[in-house]
Amino acid sequence: MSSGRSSSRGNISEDEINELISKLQALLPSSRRRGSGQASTTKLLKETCSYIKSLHREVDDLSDRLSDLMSTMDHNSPGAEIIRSILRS
Amino acid sequence: MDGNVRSAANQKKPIVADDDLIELLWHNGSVVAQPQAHHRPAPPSDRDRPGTIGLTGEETAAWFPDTLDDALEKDLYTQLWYSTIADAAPQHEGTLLGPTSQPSPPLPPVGSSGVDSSWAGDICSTFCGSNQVPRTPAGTSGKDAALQSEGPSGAGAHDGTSSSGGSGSNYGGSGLPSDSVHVHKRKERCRDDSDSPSEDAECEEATEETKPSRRHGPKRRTRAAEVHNLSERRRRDRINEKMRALQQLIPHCNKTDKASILDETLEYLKSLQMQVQIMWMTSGMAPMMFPGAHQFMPPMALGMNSGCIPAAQGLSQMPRLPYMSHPLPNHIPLNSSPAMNPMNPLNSANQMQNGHLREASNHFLHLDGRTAVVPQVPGPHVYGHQIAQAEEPNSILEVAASTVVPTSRAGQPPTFDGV
Repeated sequence: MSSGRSSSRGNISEDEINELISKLQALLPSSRRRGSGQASTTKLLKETCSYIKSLHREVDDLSDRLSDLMSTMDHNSPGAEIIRSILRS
Repeated sequence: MDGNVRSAANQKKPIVADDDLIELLWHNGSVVAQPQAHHRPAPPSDRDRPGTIGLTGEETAAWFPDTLDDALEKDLYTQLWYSTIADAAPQHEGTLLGPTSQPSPPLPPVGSSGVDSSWAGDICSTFCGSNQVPRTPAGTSGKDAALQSEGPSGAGAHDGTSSSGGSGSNYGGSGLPSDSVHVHKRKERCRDDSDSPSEDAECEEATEETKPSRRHGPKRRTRAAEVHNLSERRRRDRINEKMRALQQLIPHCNKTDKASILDETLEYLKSLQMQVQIMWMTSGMAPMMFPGAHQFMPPMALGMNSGCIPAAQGLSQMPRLPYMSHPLPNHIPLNSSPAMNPMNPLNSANQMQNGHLREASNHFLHLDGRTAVVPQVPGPHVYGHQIAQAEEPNSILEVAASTVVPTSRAGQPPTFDGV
């Protein structure tokens, strides 16, 4: 990921920040439904926070599912190996 | 000294010319001065009108917003109050007493000086429409100093000296000669001081609360700018607060500047999305991950493309995970409709893409000839085998509307061939 964000002088320009914010907006699920018009920064940040939290919950859920699955599988199978590696990350 | 004050007061209202305490009452549109003997007579209709001098400073201060409503009386009022302040201030009294030379006020001066200053400041703020009314005693310290300095000297000579020329404060609540000229002067000073940024915040609050907006044309512009500044500041504060919250969420984020936080948020968000995607796939595939189960490829595999998952768009931009966004062409079940079930939470936005997937799945059927590729490598490389074996990259292109496809086509690791 190119990091040409900070100018050499060290201060971040407004444009760079806006670019980051628009990239962030592209990742958010809500931008998918409506035409991604300009959303206010505050709302974007708030939505990002809630999205990250929901992703956390999802990861937790999936981890539980995977660990349950693991218990039903043969522990030596490659599949179990994969699941273990995923759960470790 | 009494004469000074009173002479000015006399310009507008009758005053009992004696040394007794005088109450200046505002009675139905005119100010009537009554000797203190009638301490707090209650004009029946004007009980809530500020006029009684016998009340404490707090009460009088509370009255001020009301007084402003009456524009007709404002000048008169200004003079009235200034005269009373002038009299009361040097004595550090909470009550507005008439001109008196008695150095020892009936009320204890200890706590009242602060009150005094504050409501004197209030007066100034309301009358001046100043943006600068430091309500806190700290702000009035300058004024206090001036007042204090006057206290010991008694009520004498409070005209000019107690106008706190030395303190530089514009709250000449202390001993302003109740002359209209001086009133305007104070207003000027208020205006000038309103430019000092240190008191902007308090002034803003004061102005907004007391609404002394009517009088000062040039001040309105300044105040509008200040209001804008204030709202701008609030907006920035909200944004900063959200940034801090974001920073808390992101693990190992020790940066505090906006761009870095946003940067890390982007990265973290993408990695989270990818992780979720992997876990979905894995949880769907896990029961199948043993030899001989290749025919029962989880239907959800079809659902895994960059279109179906909001996260996948981020994935497709990540060149280091070129394989993740492709379905598993080798093990396509005949029915793809249940394919989306596990992915429903993620697919809600992309029904159209699902249609494409169903189409595409047919192309993969004849790729079935290969044996099951039990993933030897964990994580993203799981699907690398299948991708490499895809003999109809066109269909994959159709399905996986991502930039990764060309990558996978071009960069298929030779090791996967023929596995």
